[in-house]
Amino acid sequence: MNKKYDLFGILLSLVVGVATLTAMLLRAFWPQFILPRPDGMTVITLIVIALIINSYFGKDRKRVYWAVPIYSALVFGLFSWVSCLLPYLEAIKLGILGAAVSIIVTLLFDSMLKRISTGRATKIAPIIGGFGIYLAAQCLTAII
Amino acid sequence: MKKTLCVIFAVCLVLLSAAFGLKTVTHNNAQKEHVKLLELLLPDGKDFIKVAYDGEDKNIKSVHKADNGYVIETVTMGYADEITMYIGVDNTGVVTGLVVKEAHETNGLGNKILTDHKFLSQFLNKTGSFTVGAANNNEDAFSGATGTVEVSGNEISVDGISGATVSSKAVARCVNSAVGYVTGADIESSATEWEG
Repeated sequence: MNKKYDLFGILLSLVVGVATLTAMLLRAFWPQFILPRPDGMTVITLIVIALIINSYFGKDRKRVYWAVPIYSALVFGLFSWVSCLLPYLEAIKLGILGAAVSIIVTLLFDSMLKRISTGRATKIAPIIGGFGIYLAAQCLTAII
Repeated sequence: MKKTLCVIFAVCLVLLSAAFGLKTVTHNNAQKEHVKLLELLLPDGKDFIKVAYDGEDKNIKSVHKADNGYVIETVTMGYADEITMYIGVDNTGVVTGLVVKEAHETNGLGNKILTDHKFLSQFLNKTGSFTVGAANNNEDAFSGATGTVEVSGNEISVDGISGATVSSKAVARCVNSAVGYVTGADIESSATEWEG
């Protein structure tokens, strides 16, 4: 039997990897460029992008929820440290933040998708859901 | 799970290689950019030397000295996060250039301090104590075309960015610290601290 594994971890690695590499190149060749801070909003944005891509590539696969915070902690913590964008302790904090945020955002995204994926809206439902979560996160961070 | 961990490991390797490969380039470009910035902020300034700062002003992070003045790096708390500025001040205490190097204020409001040249240019070619908004005790003040009000003594009132008062006042605090370093003036001027 062919087991279909969840693609979220792979897609998150690729999305965060590309973002990290872009940040490194900008820092090297355009040092005057102000990079976004590695805070909650940046983490949420990258997770939402990965979730949207995952909805289009891998929609038949079942989500493995217990693995989501593990992948996120590894991806955000490791990548920011090996790329020298953050020192060791800050990278660990980012990893923990990524783990906590990822499971909340993933649960919200999946439950939202179940509700709005009906009829003709099914094709753009991931984008609408992702954008909704992004806006909600922006409001929340502004209040905090 | 194994495949995912393999991908994570592979991406780590790529990033590690890129970090080592770009290390020298990053350092050299950052140095060049830094020197270019200092020369821009203090025209005719050359051969900058970093001077140790042992004063009490917590806003001042570093000082770069040239023959005709200083470029002072200041960091102060804005509305959302710290604001880093570089301010060029000549030996007479006149602001020759300023730039907001880093700020993470509210998008569309406080973040305008990065690009609003109309606001920033109010500090240029002036010396004194800057305040944002109407200054106190301005019996002799007049409102010019630029909105800048100059009152008695060395107090200069500048127009802040609409909807970004806290960020504007943070910029004024930075400039006051830089000018105060050169002139020796009291840095606790009328720019109000944000206590929120």
